[in-house]
Amino acid sequence: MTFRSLALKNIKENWRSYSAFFFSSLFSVAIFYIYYAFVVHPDVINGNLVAAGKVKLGLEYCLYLISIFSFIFILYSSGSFLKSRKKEFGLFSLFGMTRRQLRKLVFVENMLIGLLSTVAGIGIGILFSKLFLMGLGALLKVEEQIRFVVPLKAVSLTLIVFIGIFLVITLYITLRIGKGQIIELLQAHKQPKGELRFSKFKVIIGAISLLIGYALAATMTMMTFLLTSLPIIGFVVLGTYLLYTQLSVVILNFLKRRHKLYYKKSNMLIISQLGYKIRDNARVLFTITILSAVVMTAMGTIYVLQNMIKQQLLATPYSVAWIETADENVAQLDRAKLDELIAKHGLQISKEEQIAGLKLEQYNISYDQSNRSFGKGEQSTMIIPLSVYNENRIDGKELKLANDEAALVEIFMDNYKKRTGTVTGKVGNADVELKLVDVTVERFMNIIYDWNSMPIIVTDERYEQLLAQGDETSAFTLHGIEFSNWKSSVPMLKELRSSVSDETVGSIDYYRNIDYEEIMQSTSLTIFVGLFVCLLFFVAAGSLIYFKLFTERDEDVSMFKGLSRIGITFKEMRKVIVTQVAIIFFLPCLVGIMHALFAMLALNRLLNGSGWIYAFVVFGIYVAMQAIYFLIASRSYLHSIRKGAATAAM
Amino acid sequence: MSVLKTTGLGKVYGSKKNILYTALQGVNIEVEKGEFVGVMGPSGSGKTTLLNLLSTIDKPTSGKLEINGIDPTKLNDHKLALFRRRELGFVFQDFNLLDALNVKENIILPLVMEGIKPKVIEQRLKPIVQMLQIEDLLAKRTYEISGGQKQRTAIARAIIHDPSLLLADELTGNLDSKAAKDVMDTLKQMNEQMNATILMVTHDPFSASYCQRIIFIKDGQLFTEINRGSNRQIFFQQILDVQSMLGGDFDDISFPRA
Repeated sequence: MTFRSLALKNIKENWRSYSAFFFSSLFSVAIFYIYYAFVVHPDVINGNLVAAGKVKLGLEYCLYLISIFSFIFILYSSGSFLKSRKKEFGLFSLFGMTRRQLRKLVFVENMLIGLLSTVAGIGIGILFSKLFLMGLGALLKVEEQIRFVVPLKAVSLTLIVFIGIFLVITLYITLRIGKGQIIELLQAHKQPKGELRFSKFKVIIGAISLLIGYALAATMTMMTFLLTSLPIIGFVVLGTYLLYTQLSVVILNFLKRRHKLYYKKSNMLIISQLGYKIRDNARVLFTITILSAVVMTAMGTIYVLQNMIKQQLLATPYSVAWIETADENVAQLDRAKLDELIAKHGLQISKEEQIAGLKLEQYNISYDQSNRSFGKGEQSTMIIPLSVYNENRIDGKELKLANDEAALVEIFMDNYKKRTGTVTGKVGNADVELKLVDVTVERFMNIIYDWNSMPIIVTDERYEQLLAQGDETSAFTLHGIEFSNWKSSVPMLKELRSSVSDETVGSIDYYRNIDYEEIMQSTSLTIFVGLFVCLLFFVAAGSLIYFKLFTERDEDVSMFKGLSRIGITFKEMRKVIVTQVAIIFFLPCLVGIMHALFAMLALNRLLNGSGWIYAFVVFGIYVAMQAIYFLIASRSYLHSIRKGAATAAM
Repeated sequence: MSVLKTTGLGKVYGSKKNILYTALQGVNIEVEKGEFVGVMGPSGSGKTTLLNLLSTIDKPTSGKLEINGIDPTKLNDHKLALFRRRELGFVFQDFNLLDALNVKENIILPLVMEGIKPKVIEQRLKPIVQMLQIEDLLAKRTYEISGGQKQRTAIARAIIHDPSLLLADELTGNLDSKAAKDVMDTLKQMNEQMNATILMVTHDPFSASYCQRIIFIKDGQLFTEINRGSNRQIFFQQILDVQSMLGGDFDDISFPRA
């Protein structure tokens, strides 16, 4: 028997334990390939995908993130994989295998699995990259399908990166092999478990940290953000760590004292063993909890930001707006031309509005409440009669003014603050002074710079007076058109821009839908890539727990054997094991979600947005993935234990 | 009424077509209620196979087995486990206690799994731990107590549900002679005071001398049977005589006692 055949035979015989290592490596490779194939996709490189160009740097950072993540993940997987085989190595050494030979064996085995999973991973990656591109295309709403290609660069880089990762990790692990005494290897799982201890001090610190962290997060405002965000993270991280190492012991001890609950069938086994399971896995549980909280919060933040930008953009009521004036010096849009373009692109007009107003030139607004003034006597704005304004208001409220009063519409959507002041300026050649009594916050029309950025509302009577004071160029009209199918209006708007002169552009506003599309594409891409990274993370989290589970397999096998001899049924044993596995799988998931919920609470307060629905979608995906993982893990774990107990009976 | 009755019990290892090894053949044993029976034999004689069959974790290939009137070979896995838990008690050489549980929890485990009320559990626990002299250890963890204490804990667990038959497998194999004596004394006490029916497999003549009757097996078949008179010393000598007659290696596990 040669070494290679021994290694091969090992893999064949222990396929169950190897398969977990193999599949999680394969998964990392596939994810890396799919991702990199996208980054070097010709459409992305040539800029055909506009959004991708905008977040290119982000895409690259994500690639590093995925590589580092894969490295740590594979390192951990192979480490715990070897741990679960300590006894086997002990036996090999006992039978006279030298340390060198043992190392060689592990090296050959690991590299074999590494190579296999890299090649298979690239294959799976190629298969699924089509699905990835289709999903991306649907999300970005690109008209043409993104082409399916297999970039050679992606294949070769994935190959190089992962063979490199496997080589480094295998060498590292190989060097660590065989350092312990044989007896330690053989008795790896026989060390007594010791008592579950906790310190009152640490328990109190842990509970208080979590409470303070949560309380600060729940009451966070813009003012306290800078001051408290770092301490919150500190408190929550510390609290989480102590939750797993200390608080868990206290909670389980409390449950143990409730005899009605504790002495109820399998509860005794579940609760007493759970303490050890949590203690032995505390670090993994802690890491997964914190990482999942961070990942979920980050996803929520991106979404809330996207929503905020979207809302701000969509506050502008019309797809196209333009100025119509009798002033011959102003280059204006030709309505016939617009209609022609609208017809050509098959757009339907759903709403059309005209708002007539007066041009207030060289205006200056000064507030009584602050030193700031607007207009500075150089720009122009629009005066609108009260009745017209009230008709066009979006919130449907009614503004009331006395005859000599005026109001300002804060069209840039600042927060409402009651302000009073004075407006001066010129209508035609006549000087005008208006008394400002109120401010409303509302974007009831599109803004065209130097025409209507600070609209002033006066009573209808006052408006008539002012109109009479002005000359023939004072009055003008703002036209606005909204399409029912505005989301597909971008090509038409771009054509409109190129068909009018540069001077005309100054009196048109056509930006909303173009901005909207760009923002949506780049944030959607960010979200998509984010989801992708999330997916990777969630699977990794599941795999870590899965590996941890199998390192304790021998212990559970001997326990099951002993218990079945004294008449514990398989059903009862299954209940004990499945409950424990479920708690280990879902505990970090739930604690992580709890953290993320408080983070979202703070975020929603900060940004006045609501990302709840989206957050619940992300949480849902996480829980669903953990559930799938849990089902697979508990099934195969039970099977493995049953098999182990059967083969080694007595 | 006999608690245990086997007729022509046999176990053959290997597939149907190709018989590899006959471990046990035509064994007839009958144990009455309240008896304390030992099973002895040289290594490879089929002691362990017999115990596996009696403890229902292995199935015979021929013959009949009846424990308390029930034929366990006719039960499915689930019912068999329940049968073991209700009708049988086990004491093992390696104690088979759970690390995660303390002494008390280990003892009451069978009752807890059976769904018995905490109050009743406490009532049943008390006399047993008193008799076994482990009342002071109840809150201790399994790694904090000695081998003899562990074995007494295991005995308490094996009898707390008042089984029809207590099966013991080399229960002194891991103990020093003082501890072995203590454990055997308590076992005898259980037999006499609680009228517990005990079947013990052992290689150790000293432990065996506590039994009322010893069944010797050799090469998978019953060899002979000796009954104890009033004197244990004489019985001990008788056991040694039969052993030397039987030949074979009796010392299979006894050296770790040192």
